[in-house]
Amino acid sequence: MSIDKNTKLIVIAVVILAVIGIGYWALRPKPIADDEEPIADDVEPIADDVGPTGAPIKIGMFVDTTGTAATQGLRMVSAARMALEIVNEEGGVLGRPLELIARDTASDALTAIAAMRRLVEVDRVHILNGPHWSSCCLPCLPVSDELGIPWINTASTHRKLGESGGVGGNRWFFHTKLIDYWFFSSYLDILVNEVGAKTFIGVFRNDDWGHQCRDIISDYLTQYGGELIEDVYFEPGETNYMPILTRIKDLKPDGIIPVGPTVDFVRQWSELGLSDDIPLFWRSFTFFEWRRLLGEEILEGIWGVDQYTAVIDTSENRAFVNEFYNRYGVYPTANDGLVYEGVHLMAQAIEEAGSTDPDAIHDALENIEFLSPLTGWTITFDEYHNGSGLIQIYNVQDGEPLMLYSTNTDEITLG
Amino acid sequence: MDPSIFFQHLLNGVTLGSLYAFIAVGLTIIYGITRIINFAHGRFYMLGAYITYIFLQIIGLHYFIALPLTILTLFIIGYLFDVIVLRKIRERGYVVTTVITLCVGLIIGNLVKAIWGRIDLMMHTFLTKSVTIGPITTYAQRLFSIPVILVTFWILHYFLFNTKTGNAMRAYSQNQELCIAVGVDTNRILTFSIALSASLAGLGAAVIAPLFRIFPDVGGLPINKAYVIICMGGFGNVKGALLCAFIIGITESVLAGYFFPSYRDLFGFALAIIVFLIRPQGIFGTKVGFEW
Repeated sequence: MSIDKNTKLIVIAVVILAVIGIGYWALRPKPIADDEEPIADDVEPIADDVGPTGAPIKIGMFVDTTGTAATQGLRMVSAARMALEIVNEEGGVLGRPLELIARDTASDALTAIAAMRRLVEVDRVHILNGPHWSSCCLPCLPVSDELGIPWINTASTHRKLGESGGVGGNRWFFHTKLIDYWFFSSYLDILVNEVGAKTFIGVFRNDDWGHQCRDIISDYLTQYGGELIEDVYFEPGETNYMPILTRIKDLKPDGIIPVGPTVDFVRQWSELGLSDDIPLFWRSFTFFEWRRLLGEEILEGIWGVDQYTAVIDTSENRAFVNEFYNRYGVYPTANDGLVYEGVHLMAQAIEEAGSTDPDAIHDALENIEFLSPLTGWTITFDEYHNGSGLIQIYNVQDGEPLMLYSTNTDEITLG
Repeated sequence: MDPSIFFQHLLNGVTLGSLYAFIAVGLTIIYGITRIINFAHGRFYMLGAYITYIFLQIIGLHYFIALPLTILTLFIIGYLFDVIVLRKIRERGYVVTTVITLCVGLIIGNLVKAIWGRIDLMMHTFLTKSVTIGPITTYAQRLFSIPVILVTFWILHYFLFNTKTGNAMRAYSQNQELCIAVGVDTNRILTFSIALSASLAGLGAAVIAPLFRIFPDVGGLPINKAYVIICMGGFGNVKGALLCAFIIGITESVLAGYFFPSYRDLFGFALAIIVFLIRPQGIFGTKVGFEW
């Protein structure tokens, strides 16, 4: 039997590709590096019995699974799935299993609206979660009234969201992520008045969120006696911050406030030797994930503020962080933790509502007292449907993240 | 003006230019010789970054062993890309080949996402350490890109002008019919050209990717810039692509650094438009074909 040249070539190519594929698969990053010690030594096993039966209660999640923010969006879906699995293994909600339906927003406002509509009108979900970016969340607000389904956002922080829910006009919109006022109010006060930094350069993502952060920072700095001497913007997805950082090196501020850049920013800040002279006062704190990528040394001296971080020292949080890392090979960020928390909150609200009726869930959410499984903080919603939360300020010292200040929305009044 | 800051901006520009050059030169070689605009080329850079990561971080090889292995792997991938895909459709015309390269690029991108997920990765070589030379503080890796690009393009020039295969590549780009008539093995020339350009992307990735985060869409913006660069330099013109890569890289870094840090991409693209208005064929473009 003779085989023609083309067939031979195709067979060889398929074999080579298969070998490459298998090799590639075998060599892909393992969930846990051999030399990495698990964070928790007291991980509680997940219950084995599978109880819930009947028609599932559907959680619709619209989040970036493609596009610029896909890395974060996919992690949020993973966190939601993990929470959902735990709720189902503990018996589900109203004796029924929870089901997650995720739709892509592609980091784009119009796609986010389409995804939200599809979840409600086609997939017939009972409650919504998402999106990630404020610039996708804001345009969805008017649509949510039309759709009439409870919607809990756990990731966006634009100030307008803080006055949109409840008596602000959007009956169905709730959010558990604190708006930026809360973070910067305490953070900048401490940086100016206790750390002694007076002049700052803000580095902002060039979108709705970045621009409003600039305004908030500028206002608070003026109020506290500091100054935003320059604001610089970068496009979403940027990896090369060297021109910006070199300019900052020239201007010599007392500190940099990065709002939204990727971990490349930290590395290039270190590369330029700025770590000794111009500290980073980051508007988030992602210590474990940065350490995985950058190593410990680079992070020394960095400041950060967040509502949830993987370093929160409760046994439940350590168990969550460890399990998340075991499953996905990365450490949870603030948004991952808040989504995880959010799914539990939704489950409790539906349980308390006693049905999947949107009005009943809405009323249950308005009156909920939800004990966070990660932080131990009790979340309630105000008349604007803003969830209460923690504000924690960290500084990396001797390779360890130290929580220097911790406050919450009940303790402080926004100026 | 603080000279140390100027030199820092200049170095940033040279590194950025090197990244653009590694991608753009490969792209212009493919176009000059095969007349194909290879939309999968950016994915070669991405593959190069992941493959370097595998050799370096997972297998644990020394960087100077990982680097040639990455180049070799990308050469093989480029070779297979031509033998399996492009060779079959070469005669089908511009539209088909362009669409097919686009499809292959998407397949490679999705395969990487399927295997690796969207996990961010970061490479650490023995050169990713800050060094201070005179007024400049930077990673040795960034400085390393400068001799690499000089040596690479010197070797490439030597190869194209002093070897039988190099001469055949240039000859084929100038007169395909004559080459066929005198018995040049055109398939071999075309396959080699594509493998060569893929290996240049691999080299670029091995040298530049340790400076940045690795993720499945890495190389997206540089490849867009590379298309602009090969138009600016003149289609198929290696010298043009090389020079324009550095012009764009340095212009972006210096002007953005000094004047408008929020609008870095504006400068490169604006410069390209100015060049097209003055010289539509590009700075060095005289005719469509492959030139040094």
